[in-house]
Formats: sequence, structure tokens, C-alpha cells
Amino acid sequence: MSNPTSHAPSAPKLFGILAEFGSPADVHSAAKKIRDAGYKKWDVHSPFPIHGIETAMGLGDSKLGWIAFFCACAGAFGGFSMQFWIHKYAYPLLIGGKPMIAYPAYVPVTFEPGILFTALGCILGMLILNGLPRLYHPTFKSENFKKFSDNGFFVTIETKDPLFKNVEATRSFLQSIGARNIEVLED
Amino acid sequence: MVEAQDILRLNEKLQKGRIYLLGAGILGAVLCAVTYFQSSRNFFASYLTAYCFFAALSLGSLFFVMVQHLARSAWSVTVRRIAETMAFNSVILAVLFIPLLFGTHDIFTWTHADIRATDHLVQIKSAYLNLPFLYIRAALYFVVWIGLSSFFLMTSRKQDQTREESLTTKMGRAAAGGMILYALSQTFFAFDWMMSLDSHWFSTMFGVYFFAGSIVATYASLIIISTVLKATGHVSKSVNVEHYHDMGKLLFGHNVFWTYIAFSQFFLIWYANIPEEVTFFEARSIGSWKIISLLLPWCHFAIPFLYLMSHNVKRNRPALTLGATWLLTMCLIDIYWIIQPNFYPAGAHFGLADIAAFVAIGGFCGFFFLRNLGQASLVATGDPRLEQCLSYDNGIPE
Repeated sequence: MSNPTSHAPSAPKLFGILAEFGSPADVHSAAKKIRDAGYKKWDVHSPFPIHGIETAMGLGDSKLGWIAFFCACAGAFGGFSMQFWIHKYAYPLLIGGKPMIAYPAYVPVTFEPGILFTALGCILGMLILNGLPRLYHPTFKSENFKKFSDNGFFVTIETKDPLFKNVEATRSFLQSIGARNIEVLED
Repeated sequence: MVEAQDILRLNEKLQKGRIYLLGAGILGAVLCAVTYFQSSRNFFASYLTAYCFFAALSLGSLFFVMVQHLARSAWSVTVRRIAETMAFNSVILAVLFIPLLFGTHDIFTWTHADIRATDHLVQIKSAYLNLPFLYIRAALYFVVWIGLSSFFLMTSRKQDQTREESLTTKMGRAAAGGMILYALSQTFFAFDWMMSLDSHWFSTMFGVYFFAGSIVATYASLIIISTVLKATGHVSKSVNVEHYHDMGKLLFGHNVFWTYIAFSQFFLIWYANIPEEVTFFEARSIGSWKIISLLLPWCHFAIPFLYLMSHNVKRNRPALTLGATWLLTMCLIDIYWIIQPNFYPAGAHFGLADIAAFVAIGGFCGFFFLRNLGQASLVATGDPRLEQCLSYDNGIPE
């Protein structure tokens, strides 16, 4: 055991610090202070969506819009080229006296895969961006955290945060912005 | 409160602007007279085009006002007065309608005695397509439009003074019944003055098509007028980026709705390929009309669709105003494309009469609009939802 870093499976790795706040308004104003202090790896946990919390946390635009846009383009392009390919090469068939390549007739089938791909892309993209499905999270170890789905408003600051120097400094920062029931979470 | 920090009365600059608009209207009217004596048929083609465009703005505004009351919407309180005033333009539109009554022979082929004597379809439709009934219907439309628009404008102005909440309830109730009257009058106006130009052709979607275009034009003009008001120093706080974002969303959404209706109308007719239906698109694929027919899906739909998609554009006042101006122009081209192929079957025609009629009707409508806008506050200050409107937030992180 000369090298403690390479042989320390029993030493608990820290995930971060869990802090409770009294109300949605408290956690909202605390989020602004944490944002302004410059923390990056942290999160707010609430039983319901808090209006304006994205701005208070300093979250930027979601990337989901771009995922939806590219899925829509891919779906529409796929739907259109499938029909074009079928009518031009695979199975040319004269329908109702229309031209072989009758663009107006392709619009509904171009639209539908566009919508389908967008919907699927949004759901999958949302799951991936949220890191879901995730069956374990360090906050589950906290008895107090069970309130998060009822009447508890929590903030976690991860040790991975560049501003996280040590437990005591972060703890006193959280206390200074009105946190209570501060716990240290192990990974 | 909003009054303390915001200019809600038209200032000198715009008060003066209405004199220029009146001048433009008179100048346009003189030019109209000149072109009328050159060719009355060409003149009425242009006059009807310009008339339907400004009627669309007024009708779309009436719809906007009523739908805001029906939805009990709070976000729109500070821009509703603009729409109320624009809807009240139905009064000046009733006056500007008078020349059309003298142009029925030039406008409608179904009024011609020889056609009525020989054309079987016109004979079948004669219970509806006859001049006395056309005049009665037109009178009914104006009763509905003037009645509804003056009720909403006057009640809203009264609320500025009294701040009675009961007036909001009253307007909400009136909007429910008014919406049905609006839908019928707007649809049959489109049937009478646009669809019956080709007395053989019919489309059950035509009323919705005109409505869809008019509501796009209304959102576009709301954005443009708000920008003009802000650029001249008005409503700097009461109309903010959140309201622009919402107007942009609705402009975007309703433009997609227009596309859906326009395409559905085209698609069903194109696919079925029945002679009496297909004439409308056949006539619009001749000569230079084909260019406009191909331009509309790209310039009325595809380009604005991509342009207005991002919320960064909707929240940027100059960028959104540019998009709105573009779409308003497209709405005018759309109405031109509906009406004028009936007069110039060989290809698109543009002349002095088009400019004269647009300047005349636009000038008088603009004058009347600014006159009424100057008579009261620019914002419905007595509305109980005003505070909610001012603190409205789309929740977009800056």
C-alpha cells in the first residue's frame, strides 16, 4: 500500500454535496447565487418545474432544437428520395395519368417521415441529453433526499466542479446562501 | 403602472404622418380616376386587388381581437389596441367599397346578359349569383364587421377610463357569438368578391384560404406597426421582446397554416383532375402566371419557414420586422394571384392602375387608422390583465 491512489478501492469517492432549501423561491434565489459564483457541475432538484429556473441556473439553449431540426431534414429527405427512387427506378407505374415523377403527390409522404423522425429524435435526444435511463444516483443514499418528490427543494454541487476545492469551503458557501441539512454524498 | 413610464399617446411625428397618408390617398384617388377612364376593366382589377388586401388586414385584426378575448389571453393586452383600431378600418372600407358597386359589370362576367342567357352553370347558380342578392350580402357583411369592430374598440376605450372588469367579461361573451358571424361573413365575402370572378369554379376551402392569408397579414402588420410605434418613441416598455416573440410564433404558425390550406386546396384539385375544378390552377399555369404559382410555395412558405424558425430571429426586432414585411408582401402577391388571372388570362400584368389603387386605398386606410389610434391610448390600459401582460416571460435564457 505504498501508493494510496492506485490501491484505494475501499476509500469512498466523493460525489458532491447535497443541500436543502425551504421553498421554491429560496432554491430559485440560491440558484442565481450559485450561477453567479461560477459553478458549472451542479443541479437543482424539485418536485415540480420551477418557473424561470433555467435562467436562474444559467442554462443555455437546449440542443434538442438542433437534434429535432436535423431529424426532420433527414426524415423529409428520406421520405422524398424513397418515393423518387421507387417511381423512377424500382417500380415505375403510371398512376391516374400523372407524370412518373409527380412531386405534389410526394408531399404527404415527405411530411410524415419528417414528423416521425422528429418525434423519435426528440424523445431519444431528450433521454441522451438527460443521461437517461439511469438506475442509480448518489443522491439515493440520502434519507433526507426522499422528500425531493414531495416537498423538498435540493441543490447538489459535484466534486467534479472546477470551483470545488474542498468540502468545508463548499459547505460554508451553501450555508451562506441559506441552505440547511447539508450532507456529503459518496459516489 | 405603465402610464408613468411609457408614451402611450401618438406624438407629433405620427400625427403629421397621417396628413401625408391622406395626401397619398387623394393623389392615389386622382390617379385611379385617370386609369379608370383609360380602361375601366383594368382599373377595377387593380382596385379589387388592393381592396381585398386591406380588407384582409382589417378582417384578420377583427379575428385576432376576438380570439384574444375568447382565450382570455394576457400576453396580447398591449398590442390589442392596434388590432382593435385596424379592425375598425371596416368603416372606411365600407366607404371605399362604393366604387366596386359601380364596377360589377367589369368585375363579374356572370352579370353579363349574354352569359346569363347561354351559360348553363351560371343559370343554375343564379339564385346566389345575382346582383340584388350580392348587394344585400355585402350590406350584411359590413353590418357585422362595423358592428363588431366598433363594439370592441369602443368598449375597450371605455375600459381605459372606467377600469371595469365586467367589460372584459362582456367582450368575451360578444366574441363567442361574433366569431360565428365573422366566420360566415368572411367566408362569403371571399366567395363573392374573389371566387365568383370565375363563375364556373368553386372550392369549399376558399373561405379558409382567404382567412389563412389574412391572419398572416394581420400578424405581420401588428409586428410592423409595433416597430414603427417603438421607432417613433412610443410603447418602449409596454411592448417588449416577449410580445415580439409571441407575435413571431403566431406569424410562423399561421404561415404554416396558410401553407397547409393552400396545399390541401391545390393537392385535392390536382389529384382529382376534374375539369370544372382544375380550371383555377390551369389558368394560373399560363405564361408568367406560372412563375408566381411556383414562387408562392418557396417565398410564402419555405424561405419564411426556415427564417422564422429560430427564437433568436423572433426575439430580434429588426430581424422579425424584416420577416414580417416579407410575408406581408407575399400576402399581397397571393391576393393578386387569386384575382388578376381572371382579368389577364395571358399572363401577369402590372400597371399604373395597380399602384394607384394601392396608394389610394392604403392612404385612406392608413389615415383613418392613425386618426383613430390617436384618439385614445395606444395600449388598453384599463384591461385587468395588463399587469400580467407586462410581466409576461417566455422563459428563454438570455
